[in-house]
Amino acid sequence: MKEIFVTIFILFTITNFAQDKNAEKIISAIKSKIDKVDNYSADVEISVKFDFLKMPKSKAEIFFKKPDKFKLKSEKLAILPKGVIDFNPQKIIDKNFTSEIIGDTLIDNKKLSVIKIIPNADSIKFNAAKLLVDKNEFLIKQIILSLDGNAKIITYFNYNDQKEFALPSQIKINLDFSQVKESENKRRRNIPENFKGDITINYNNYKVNKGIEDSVFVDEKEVEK
Amino acid sequence: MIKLVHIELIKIFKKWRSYIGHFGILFMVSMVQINLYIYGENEVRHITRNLSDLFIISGNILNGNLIGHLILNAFFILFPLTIVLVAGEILAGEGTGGTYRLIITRPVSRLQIIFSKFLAGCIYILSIIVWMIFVSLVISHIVFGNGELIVLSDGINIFAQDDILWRFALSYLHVFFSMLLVFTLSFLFSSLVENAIGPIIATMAILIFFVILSQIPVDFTKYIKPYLFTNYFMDWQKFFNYDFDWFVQIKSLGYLALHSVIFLILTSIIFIRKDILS
Repeated sequence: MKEIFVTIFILFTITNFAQDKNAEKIISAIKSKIDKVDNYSADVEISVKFDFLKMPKSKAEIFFKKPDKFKLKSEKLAILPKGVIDFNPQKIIDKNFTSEIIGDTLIDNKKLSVIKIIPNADSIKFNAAKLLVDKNEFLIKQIILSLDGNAKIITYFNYNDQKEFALPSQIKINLDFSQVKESENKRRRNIPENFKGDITINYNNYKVNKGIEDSVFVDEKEVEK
Repeated sequence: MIKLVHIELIKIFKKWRSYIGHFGILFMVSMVQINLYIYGENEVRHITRNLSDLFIISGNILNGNLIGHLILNAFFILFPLTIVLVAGEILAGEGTGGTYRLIITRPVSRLQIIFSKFLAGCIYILSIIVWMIFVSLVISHIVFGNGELIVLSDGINIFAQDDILWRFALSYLHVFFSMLLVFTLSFLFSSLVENAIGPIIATMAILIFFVILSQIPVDFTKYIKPYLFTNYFMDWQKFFNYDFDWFVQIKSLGYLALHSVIFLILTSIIFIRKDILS
């Protein structure tokens, strides 16, 4: 009986160790794809659906340059969620974290690996994250972020012609802060503490690694970067 | 009837006090526009303060539509003040000037006199509103350009350029009906006395009293609030909401119009039965 327990324990440890290694391998592969991008620009169309914020679809041009330069250009008014439009999965996978594959799931007839990421540093703003990864193409298909106060952000990624750089053709974000207790968020005028909503961003006309001047990122008109 | 209205319009527009509202609007709106032209960025920061924590914002926020909306919000209170100056005097002024006998001995009915004065009053209200539209919206568009409109109300509503004009049109229509009510109320008081000061003060007193009454935080006010016509004055703001209720807005307009009709009927009855002794 004792031997059986020892055997099971060893098997479990080996399997777990293998999963961790696997997770790191997949994440490294995704990172290397993302690292290929020095700069890019794209046209975006954003639709936002919140109870507290109602607006027409925004169209804008976005510019990104390593390490973290981001610029939004729009002749018309464009209001784009921070941390979404300039979202970079590297922000999650670059951090100090522990990762492990916790299983597989089938989405749109595609088998995706579920990688759980737990941050090791207090400075990181999420409690836990799950990445749903296509391990054949090394593309993140979903990120499920669990935040403080039962808040959850689920980001869905679709890819088209920029798979080699892991740049999405569409991002859909579902934000659910409906369970957040009122005391846990700082009250903002016109913005409720508890809200649910969706943001959809469609990307077109990617120009990847074509070179972007630093002057593009200087603009006195932009209210907030 | 047209000739009578024309005569009443001459009476209104030849008096300098009839232009106090126009000059007041021009002065106040100009001050706001000059201030925004110089310190507009501060206003933009104020508007987007909460938004910028969560969103990246780009584009022409400080535009003619935003300024037009800000001004209408800020200076709505000017409208009743300017209207009562004219409406309070429209009948009482005849008593003060000793011209009552002169006008009612003409071969026109008293009802025609009332209606000609009422129509002249409507035209005066329109002149104030059109002037406000010109200085606040048209001038602002010329100076600050066009753009999307951000409205902070219950939440945040952002309207596309092609989704704004009709909202302003309906808002100003609602403002017209609100001011028509103010006019007819003052007109009613004007029919009772022979001095313009009384109707002006009485109308403003009622407006202020109703506003204060509806703001008192006791349970009793919630029962009487729906019956206070001042409660419907600010309903124009609802047109700048994506999911405003058409029925509620039409009801609001109807309520204002009904009050105006009642006040006009009362004024007509009082004037027709009035014994002119001066």
